[in-house]
Amino acid sequence: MSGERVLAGLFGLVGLFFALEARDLSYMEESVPGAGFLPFWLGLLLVALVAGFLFTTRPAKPAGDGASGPSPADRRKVAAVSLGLVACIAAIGELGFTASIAAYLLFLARAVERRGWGLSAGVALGATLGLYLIFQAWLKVPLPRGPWGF
Amino acid sequence: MDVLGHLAQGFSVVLTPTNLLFCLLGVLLGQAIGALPGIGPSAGIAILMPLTFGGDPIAATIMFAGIYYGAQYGGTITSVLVSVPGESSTVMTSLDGYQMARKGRAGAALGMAAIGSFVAGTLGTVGLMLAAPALAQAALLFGPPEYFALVVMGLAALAIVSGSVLKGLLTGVAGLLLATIGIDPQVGSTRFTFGQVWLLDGIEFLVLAVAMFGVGEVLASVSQEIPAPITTSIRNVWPTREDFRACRLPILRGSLIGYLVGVLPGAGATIASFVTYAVERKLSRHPERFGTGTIEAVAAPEAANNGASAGAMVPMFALGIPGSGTTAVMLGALIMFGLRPGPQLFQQHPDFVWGIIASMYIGNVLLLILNLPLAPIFAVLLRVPYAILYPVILAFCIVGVYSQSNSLDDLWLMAGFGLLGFFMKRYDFPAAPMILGLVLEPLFENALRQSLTLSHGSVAIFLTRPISAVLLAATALVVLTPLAVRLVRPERAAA
Repeated sequence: MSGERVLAGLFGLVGLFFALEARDLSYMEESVPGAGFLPFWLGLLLVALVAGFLFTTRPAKPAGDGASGPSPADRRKVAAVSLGLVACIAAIGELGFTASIAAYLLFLARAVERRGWGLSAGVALGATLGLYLIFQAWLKVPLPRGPWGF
Repeated sequence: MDVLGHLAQGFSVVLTPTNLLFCLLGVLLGQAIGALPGIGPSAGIAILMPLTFGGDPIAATIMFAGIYYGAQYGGTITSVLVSVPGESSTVMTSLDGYQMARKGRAGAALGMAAIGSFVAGTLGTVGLMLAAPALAQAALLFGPPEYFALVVMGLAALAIVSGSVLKGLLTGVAGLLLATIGIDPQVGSTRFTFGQVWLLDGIEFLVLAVAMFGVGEVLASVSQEIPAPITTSIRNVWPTREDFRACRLPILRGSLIGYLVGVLPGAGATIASFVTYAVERKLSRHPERFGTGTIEAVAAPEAANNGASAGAMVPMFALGIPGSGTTAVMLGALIMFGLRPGPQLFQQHPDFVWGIIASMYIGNVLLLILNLPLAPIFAVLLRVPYAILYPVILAFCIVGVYSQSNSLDDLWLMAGFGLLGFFMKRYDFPAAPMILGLVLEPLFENALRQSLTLSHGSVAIFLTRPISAVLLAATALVVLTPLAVRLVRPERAAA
């Protein structure tokens, strides 16, 4: 099954989920729609649209689908950037904003993009410092601090 | 007060040091965002939005508008020098612009594009100034059924022009559904929060916009090769007299077509440039030269995409229905500032609306000044490696989303939706209808509920009121026609 049909199917499941959950909410209160009215119908509409999409779109041949997509190396790159993002968000609560963002940027520039240590460190420290100055110092956003106070 | 009086009021608002600075900042950022690959005006505005929290909404919106139309100018640089359009609206420019660059006429292409953009941007702003207040006045007669029909039409229009009608509708409905998470504004009960306190406020527009247009676009771009720019010096930016003669009428036609297409809900700069290119080719005495580096084929679509940018502001300001993906993000920004775009805006906040309109005149002059002598400098931006750029964009996304509500939960949502955005981009599911659905759902649901209350639960109210009936019939026609074709001829390619 092609990726786009899987993605469409996921949208359909979301629609089905909302429609089923909406049944626990009030549908009509006298002649006024209740909290569940719109989500119920939107959920069903989403399911219908997905069904229409799957019905009118022929499954792609595996070779054709893969040929137009990114190479395995690029897929690994997307996975590395995504997992790095997840790790960064997980670390922000523990290590604070500054260290987590700097480490993520260093990881992206050095490990993912294979840039030199000097350039990678420069990007990581420069961007982190810039963001710190804009958001923490200028806009007074209370960014999470790590055990070392920043 | 007449239009000129309102415009004078607008200039008095914008001609302050702060607002002029934001206008300059907006067009500079827009120019850079348009030129840089992998980031568009929607992402730029979404990512920069947190910087404007707590600030002056007028200054912020002046900056956002500057980013929007500045990006149309900036996208030209990439189209001409790399043949990879910085914006989808400059695809047609790349056909002949790149060929001109290969012949050593990159300067003339960029110069004429800037002049065409300036003319169209200015004429489009005149059109905005004349049409939006009149449309807003007419829309004051609209009741809940008409607004319901308008939202349906806006969502359907954006879905139709997003490439695949079904995929566009699908993501638009998904956006509406996502917006139902949180507290029901009418009865105050919770919906789909699953006992999670952080979901009570629902899914914030900023989180979804940054995730889709920021994180999702970055993930999609890191898996693509971005070619190096053509190595040519940009000289003779001021076009020759012959160039001017060739481009005079195409620029005017492009301005008009662009503006008119831009006003249509959901259409926008990309379609405007395609239509204009086709029209110019049809009208040309030498259509065979199109695609080989003819200057009018650069000037006309550039005029069209800038005319469309101004045109797209008409439905946003007058009706509260965005005319494009970027104006959908701007609409969300205005709502975050506590403003409700629509007919009341002209009456309740005339200083705001006319200030933005006046700023667009100034911004277009600034862009012309910036582009003619400084085009070579902006071209240097193309040499910034994307490998260095995207980590900084991602860091900006993280801190921007966090700063909105100081919540790590929003960051998790951003990561999740960012991944969804990547797959949507990968399989051509448009993100703009989803954002628009999320933004317009409160208006949509309120209009639906009020209409059904008025009619004691009968949906016939949408068909017995002439304006809503016409709007819904038009929507049904344009949506069902391509769907019927699909049913008759199912095919692999998206409709």
